[in-house]
Amino acid sequence: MKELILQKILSKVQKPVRYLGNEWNAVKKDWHGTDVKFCFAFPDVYEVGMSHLGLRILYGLINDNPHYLMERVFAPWKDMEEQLRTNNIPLFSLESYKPVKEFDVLGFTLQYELSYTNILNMMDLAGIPLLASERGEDMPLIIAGGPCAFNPEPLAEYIDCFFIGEGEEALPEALEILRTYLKAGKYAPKKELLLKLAQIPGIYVPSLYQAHYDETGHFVDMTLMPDVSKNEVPEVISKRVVADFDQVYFPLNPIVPFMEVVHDRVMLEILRGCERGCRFCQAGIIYRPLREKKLETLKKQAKESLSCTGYEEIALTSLSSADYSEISNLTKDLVQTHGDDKIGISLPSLRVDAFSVDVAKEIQKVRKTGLTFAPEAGTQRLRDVINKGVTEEDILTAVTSAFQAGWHQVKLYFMIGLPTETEEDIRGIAEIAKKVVYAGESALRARRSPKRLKVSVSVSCFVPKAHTPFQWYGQNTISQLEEKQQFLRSLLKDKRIDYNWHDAKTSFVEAIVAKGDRKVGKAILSAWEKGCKFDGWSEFFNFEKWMEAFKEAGVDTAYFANQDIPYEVSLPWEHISAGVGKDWLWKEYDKALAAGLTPSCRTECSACGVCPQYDLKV
Amino acid sequence: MNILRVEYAITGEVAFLSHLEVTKAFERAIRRAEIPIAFSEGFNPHPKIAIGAPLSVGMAGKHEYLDLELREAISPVNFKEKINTKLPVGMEVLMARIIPKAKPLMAIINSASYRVELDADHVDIAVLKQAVKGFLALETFLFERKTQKGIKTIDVRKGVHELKTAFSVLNFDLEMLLAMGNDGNVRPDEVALAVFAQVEGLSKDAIMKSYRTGLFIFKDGKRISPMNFGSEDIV
Repeated sequence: MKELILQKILSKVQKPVRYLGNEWNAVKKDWHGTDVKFCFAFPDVYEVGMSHLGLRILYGLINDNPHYLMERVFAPWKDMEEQLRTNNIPLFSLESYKPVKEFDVLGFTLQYELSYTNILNMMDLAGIPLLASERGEDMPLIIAGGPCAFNPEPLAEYIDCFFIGEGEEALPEALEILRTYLKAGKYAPKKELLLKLAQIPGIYVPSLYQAHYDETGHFVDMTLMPDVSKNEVPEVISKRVVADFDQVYFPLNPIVPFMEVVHDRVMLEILRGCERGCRFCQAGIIYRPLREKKLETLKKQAKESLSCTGYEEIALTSLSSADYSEISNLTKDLVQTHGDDKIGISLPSLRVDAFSVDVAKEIQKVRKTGLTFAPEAGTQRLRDVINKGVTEEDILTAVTSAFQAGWHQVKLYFMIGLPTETEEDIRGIAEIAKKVVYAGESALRARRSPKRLKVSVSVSCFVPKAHTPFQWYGQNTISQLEEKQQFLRSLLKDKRIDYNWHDAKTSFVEAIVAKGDRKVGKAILSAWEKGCKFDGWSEFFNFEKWMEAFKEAGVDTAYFANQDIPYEVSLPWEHISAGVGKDWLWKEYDKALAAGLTPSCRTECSACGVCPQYDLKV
Repeated sequence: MNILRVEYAITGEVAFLSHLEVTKAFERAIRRAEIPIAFSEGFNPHPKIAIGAPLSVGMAGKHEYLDLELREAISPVNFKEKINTKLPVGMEVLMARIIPKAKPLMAIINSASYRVELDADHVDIAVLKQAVKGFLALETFLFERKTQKGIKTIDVRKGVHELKTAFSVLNFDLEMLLAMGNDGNVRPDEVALAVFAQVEGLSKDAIMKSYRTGLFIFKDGKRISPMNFGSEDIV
């Protein structure tokens, strides 16, 4: 049947393992034995999507429930897509090879803006009408969640409902409602179902809201549709926050891919949220407040996960792992318990300080991992502007410690295009890189290391994001960014430094979509129609087609990407709340421009508003 | 030193795994089954598993071999039982034995047996037998193989140790024993095409699928399983 066709196709495509399914811990439930069939769609290829922690969590959570079934689908690579279209095979799920169109719900995760054309492409490959208004009850309900859902407007015309914030509680609540509707036949009428779903806290149904524009076509306001009462559906949708993070569902037996995926290890979430308050960082705001798991919980989860998967590495995942209050004890315990089995422990997202290096030294006892630090800006002044409380002394002490302890390779992340940036700040990046090289050379020489020093400097272009203090800031223009990149390049001509920079044009398109409204949404459809997809992949990104699409949709690109927004203007995402006050964000923006510092939450509360709203304390 | 020589099968979808992916899948199953495997030294210790011969992506293997080094001895029966509960669908351990320190599998395996299944609708058995006879009577048969580095000329005939026709329920098959490794490397589809070239009426479309049926040490005209090796193989 379909399997036979696939046997023929699989030999014609690259990396057929992407489309096999049947991995260890994959769950194939009885189709007719469950009430709600959910297909989780990650809008990128298998090896990227399988690294997503959210997929692991929801897959286990939903499949553990006897009434529901969850299967997966990923974006087929170009060659597979060609095969599917030529052979008239609709997009299918991995577990049972069922056409995605036959599921009750199709859920997309919105991880980054440049994946949106892939979402439309996957829907098209599945045979599902792209516009929500054109879909009847015979089509799956299309839902979406994840960080980009905090500005859902560019996808508002394609998605039936968005899940804002954490999904562990909201998703089962929604599926339960859907279940009652499905028991009576295909969820009819759809409008009634959507109204019911909109009453679940954290769910945003875009068709119940309408966007208003002024004479120049600029967004001015979002209101409920005239036939929808604010007593039924909230005017502002507040994110969902899991209160008891220690006891929240955690997947102990995630799927173990055959293929080498980006994050090929147990992902142990130790912390959610972040206390630092770096002003460019959207994740730090949308995952507030900071919540930790208990040490004992983590030790148990680590042990179970390793034995259920057979993974050889465990990552202590969070936005800032060294901030976990028991990080030293946790790493010591894991090394002691699992060291003999040569289980590697990786610590992404380390703070730039010597403490982090001490923790890292502990895990080196088992297996060497890379070390990455993110100073983000080249001068103290600019680091203060972005509230990244890291001094040059911190940076040098950390890297020196690292080189002395055995590393010979270090990666540094920076951004260009930050608010108030001057030439001096760019020079600062080069100076830090050079100082790191000198520190590295002397440390390696002192311990007579035969290995060659390598300092990688990775510089991305700042993209202002919704719900951050910098959401009002206009991005540098493409030429400004490219000029800065060239300038920095001329300063970093050193064989020991490996300089990587990100394409400014891609960042420009990202910026437009990140602060986009429904009109930008029309341009996304147009871009897809012109053939845009896999926009996050440099070999696919087509700037000219995007600019054509923006032009045809009447989108003023400079307005969205580069213009500073005044405080009084209504933002297209204001009806979505991340739990922090708009005035608090503006205060932080003001403070940033004066290079003022805001201490971390746990040191001194700055009253962002999230804790009282959710009745939690950091 | 405890070395366990393992005979296993790769069938179904997992045939599409690459050599490295198969190794990794075994590594993880070994951890899940809590098999006390030995690790290499150095900064990135990895489990000591050595697969005998890589299998082409997309091809199933009914009797494949690998060697594992253990930290402590375990019973082969125990090993087989435990690991089979932890291997993904399509991978199965058939047999295991403890062996003394021996030459690596990659060094001793010099031949592989394959079965090429042909579509009975496109094949006349008498014609096929004639083609096989004709092929075996040849001294050489040159074939141009496309590789990443360009075209390579292979003498297909020289790489064929044994070849015959066979029946299965729905098809006619070719069964063959081919040279592998340092002695030459011939692919089953190349042999099938070379056989077809001996007669009229047999085309590439007749080939339905090919799979590996075994790996051997071919010596003095006889095939020896890697599981039964002699004193000369001990290091």
